[in-house]
Amino acid sequence: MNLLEAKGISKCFGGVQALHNVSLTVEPASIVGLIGPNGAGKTTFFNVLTGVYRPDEGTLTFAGQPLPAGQPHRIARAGLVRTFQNIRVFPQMSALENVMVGFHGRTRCGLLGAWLNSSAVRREEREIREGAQELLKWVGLQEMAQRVAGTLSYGAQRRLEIARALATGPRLLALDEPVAGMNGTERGHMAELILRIRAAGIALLVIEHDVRWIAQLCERITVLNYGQGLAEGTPAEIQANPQVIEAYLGHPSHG
Amino acid sequence: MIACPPRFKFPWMLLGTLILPWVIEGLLGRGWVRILDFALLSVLLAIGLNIVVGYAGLLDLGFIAFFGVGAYAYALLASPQFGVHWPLWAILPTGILVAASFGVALGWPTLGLRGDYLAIVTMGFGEIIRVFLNNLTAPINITNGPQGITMIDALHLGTWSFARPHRLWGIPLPALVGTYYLFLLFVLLALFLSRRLEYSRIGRAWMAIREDEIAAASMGLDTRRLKLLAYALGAAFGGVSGGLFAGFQGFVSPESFTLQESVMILCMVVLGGMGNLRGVVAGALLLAFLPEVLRPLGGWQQHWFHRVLIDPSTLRLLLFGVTLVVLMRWRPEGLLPSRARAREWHTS
Amino acid sequence: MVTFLQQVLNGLTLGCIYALVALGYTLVYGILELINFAHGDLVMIGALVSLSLVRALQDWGAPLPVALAGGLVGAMGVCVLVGVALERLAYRPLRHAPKLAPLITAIGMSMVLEQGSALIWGRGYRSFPDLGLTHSLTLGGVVISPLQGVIVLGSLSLLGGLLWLIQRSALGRAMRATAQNPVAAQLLGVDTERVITLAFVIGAALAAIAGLMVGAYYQVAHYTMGFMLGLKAFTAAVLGGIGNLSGAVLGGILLGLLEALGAGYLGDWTGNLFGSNYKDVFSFATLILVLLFHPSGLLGRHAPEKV
Repeated sequence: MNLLEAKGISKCFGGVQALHNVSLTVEPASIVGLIGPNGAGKTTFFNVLTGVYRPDEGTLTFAGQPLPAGQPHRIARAGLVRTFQNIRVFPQMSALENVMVGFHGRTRCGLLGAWLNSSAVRREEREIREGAQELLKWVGLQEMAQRVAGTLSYGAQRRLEIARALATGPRLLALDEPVAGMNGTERGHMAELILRIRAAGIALLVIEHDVRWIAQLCERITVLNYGQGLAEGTPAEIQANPQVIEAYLGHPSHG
Repeated sequence: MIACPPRFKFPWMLLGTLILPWVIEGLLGRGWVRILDFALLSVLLAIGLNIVVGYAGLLDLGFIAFFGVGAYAYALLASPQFGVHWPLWAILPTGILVAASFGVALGWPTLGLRGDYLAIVTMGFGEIIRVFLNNLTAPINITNGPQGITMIDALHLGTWSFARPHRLWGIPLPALVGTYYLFLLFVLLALFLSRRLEYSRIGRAWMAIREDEIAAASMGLDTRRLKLLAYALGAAFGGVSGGLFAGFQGFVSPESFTLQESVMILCMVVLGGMGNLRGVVAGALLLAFLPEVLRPLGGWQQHWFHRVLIDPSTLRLLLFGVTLVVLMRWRPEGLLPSRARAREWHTS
Repeated sequence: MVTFLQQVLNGLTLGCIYALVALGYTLVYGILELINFAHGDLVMIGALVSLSLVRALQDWGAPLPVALAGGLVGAMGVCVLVGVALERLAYRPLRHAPKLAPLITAIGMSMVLEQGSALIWGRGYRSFPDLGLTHSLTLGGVVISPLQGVIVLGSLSLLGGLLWLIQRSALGRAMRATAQNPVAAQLLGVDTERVITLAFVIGAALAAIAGLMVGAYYQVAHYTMGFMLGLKAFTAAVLGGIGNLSGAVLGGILLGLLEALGAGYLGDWTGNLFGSNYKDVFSFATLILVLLFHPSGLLGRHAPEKV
C-alpha cells in the first residue's frame, strides 16, 4: 500500500492555474524526488499537501485515510510533516525549544496539568527535553541546543528545521529544497542525513533543483512543469526522458 | 534560552508586599491605600492582557470589556437590582465563566484572520459592550442604563466583610488594608498561574505561534484552539478583576469601561515589557499611580496661571498615547523586558 | 414607501461620508497593510478645524461660500500636515518592525490626536455654525435638504474623479504597482516612499472633506467623534474588500444604507426595543459577519499568504 497518494490535484490562484491534475505517490520508507524548473508549482504542491492551501480538485490519501484538506495541524498529526523553502524556524526561541515545540502534538499536558505541575507533567516535560536533545544530537546540533535559532548558520537552521519536524513523529517528511544555497560538502552531509532518516523507517519527499544530487538519493522522481506532471519514473528513466531533458535539463542547471 | 523558570526572591518580596499598605498608610495616608487597592486590580487586569498580547502575540484593544462583564456579573448577582445576593465564592466563578465565554465568542470569528483585524474587532467589541450596558433597560431593566447599578454588596466571605475594619490578635486591621490582602492574594494567584503556563508546553506553543503561525501549525499545533485559550484565559482574569472592582467600589456604570481604559491597560503591558510578568506588574503599578501623581498639576496651574490650562486627566491620556508611540520607536521591549522578547524586537 | 425613500436618502448621505473615510483606510492598507487607527481622528480634526475657521470667517464678515471654502481649504491643509507627520514620525520608522509595533503606535497616535484636540477645543460638544442651507426641497414626500444634495453630489464626483485618476494616471499606476509588490515597484523605478506619502496625503484630504461634511450634517463636532466614524469606515472598507478602492466606495454606501434602514425599521419591528440607539451595533455586526463568511469582501480578491 502506498503511504501517500495524491490524485488529480488542481489549484488555481485568481485565474492562474498553479497546479493542474498533478498525481504523485510515495511508498513507505522510500525517497521520492520532486523536480521541475522554477515556478513549476513544486512549492504550491507542498502547500496543498500540508494543508496551507486547500486543493480545488483532487484527493489526498495518507496511510489509507483521506488527509484533512486545509488543516495543517491535523495533517502534521497524521504523520505528514514538512520543512520550508525559506527557512521558518522560530527565530527567537532556542534550538532546543524549537525542537520541543515539535513534540507538542505528541504530548498531553493541558491547562490543569501546567498549573498543578504534577509528577506526570514533569515527567512528560523531561521526556520532551531529552527527546529534543536526542534529536539535536542526531542532526549534529548538540552543541547548539541553547543557541537562539535565528543566530544559527544557514545550514544549521535547515538541520534544526528537520529535527523539529522529526520531533512530531512523522511517517513522511517533506523537504522543500533542503540543500538550496549549500556547498558540496554540506550537500553531502544533507544526503547522509536524509539516508539516515529513511533508514529509521521514515519516507521522504524532497523538492530539489539539482537533478544529479537528487538522482543519487531517491528511488523515484516526479517532474513538474507549468503546474502539470511531466514525467514519473526511476532516476535513470527521468534522466533519459527527452521531454524532461528539453523542459528542464536543457536549461543550464546549477550545482 | 528558557530552561526552567528563574527563581523568585520569594521571602523578601513577600514580606515587602505584606507590610506595604502599613508603610503607605503611615507615610501618605489612608487615601493612598485605597489607590493601592485599585492599583492591584489594574495589575490583575494587566496580567490577564499579558497572556493575550504578551504570550500569544494577539493585540486586544477592547480588553476592558471583560473587566466590565465581570463587574456587571458581580453587580447583578449581588445587589438590589434583581434582589439576589450571591456569596463571593459563587459570583467569581460565574463571572469567570461569563467573561471567558465572551472571550471565546469574540475570538472565534477572527481567529482565521490576520492580527490587525483582530485588533479592530476587539476595539469595536469594547464599544459595543458599552452600547449594550447603556441600553439594556427594556423590555426588562437589566443594566439600569447610564446610571449604572448602585448599592452593590460589599466584598465579603461568610460573615467577614472587607468593607469593615477588623481586629486580628489585638491588632487593628483597617478595611482598606484587609481588602489589599484579598486583592494581593488574587494577584499572587494570577502571577503563579500565569508563570506556570509561561513555562509549560502551552506557553511554548503560544510563543511559537507568536513567532511564526504557519510554521507552528505545520508542526501540529492547533493554532485556533491555542489562541482561543489565550483569549478565554485573559478574559477570565479580566472578569475576576471586574468582579472585585464592583464589590470594592459599590457601584458600576458603563463609563468605567471606555476605550481609554483599554488603551491604559495595553500601555501597562507594553511599558513594562510584553510577555514578562515582572515588567507587566511594574508597568501596571506605575500607570495606576500616574493620575495621582498628576492630580496636583491642576492646583498648581490654578495657582500660577489662575486657570487650568491642561486638564490632568487629558494630560494623563495624552501621556499614554505618547508612551505607546515612543516605546514602540525606541524601546519596544519595554522597561523590564523578557530576554526572548528583547531579542525579538531588535533582530527583526 | 415615502419613509423608505427618506431612509434611503439619509443612508446615501451617510454612506457617501463613510466612503470618503473608507478610501483613506483602504489606500493606506492597500500599500502598507497597516490599519491606520488614527485615520478616524483626522476626520475629527477636519471637522473641528473647519468649524473654527468657518465661524471665524463668518464673524469677520465673510459671505457663506467664502467662509466654507476657507474652512475646507484650512481643514484640508491641517489634516494633510497631520497625516504626513503621522506617517513620518510614527509609521515610517517601524516599517520593518514586528507587526504588533505599528498597530500599537497607531492606537497611541490616535490617543495623542484625540487628547491634543481636547486641549485645543475642549472636552465639550462644539456646535457647527449654521450654514443656512435649510430650505428643504420636497420631492414626492421625500424631504431633501440642500446640504444632503451637496454632500451626495460632491462626494460622488470627488470619489469618481479619484477612482479615475488612480485607474488612468501614471501616479495611479505607481500606487497600484506599489500596492501589489513594493520591492518590484521600487526596482522598476517607482519612488515607493513618495507613493506612501501620497496615499496619506490623499487619505487625509478626503478625511478633512468628510469632517466638514459630518460636522455640517450633524451640526456638532467633538474630540471623540472620529472613533466610531473610523470604525464604521473601516467596516465599509472591509465590506467592499480592503485594498480595493471601488470596494471602499461601494462598502461605504452600502453600510450607510444598511444603518439608516436598519435603525429605521428594526425599531418599528421590535416596538422600539431595539431602535436607533443600537445603530452602532449594526456596523459592528456587519464587520463580524463579513469577516466570518467572506473576509475578502465584495470586490476584494483573496490573496494567499506567501509561504
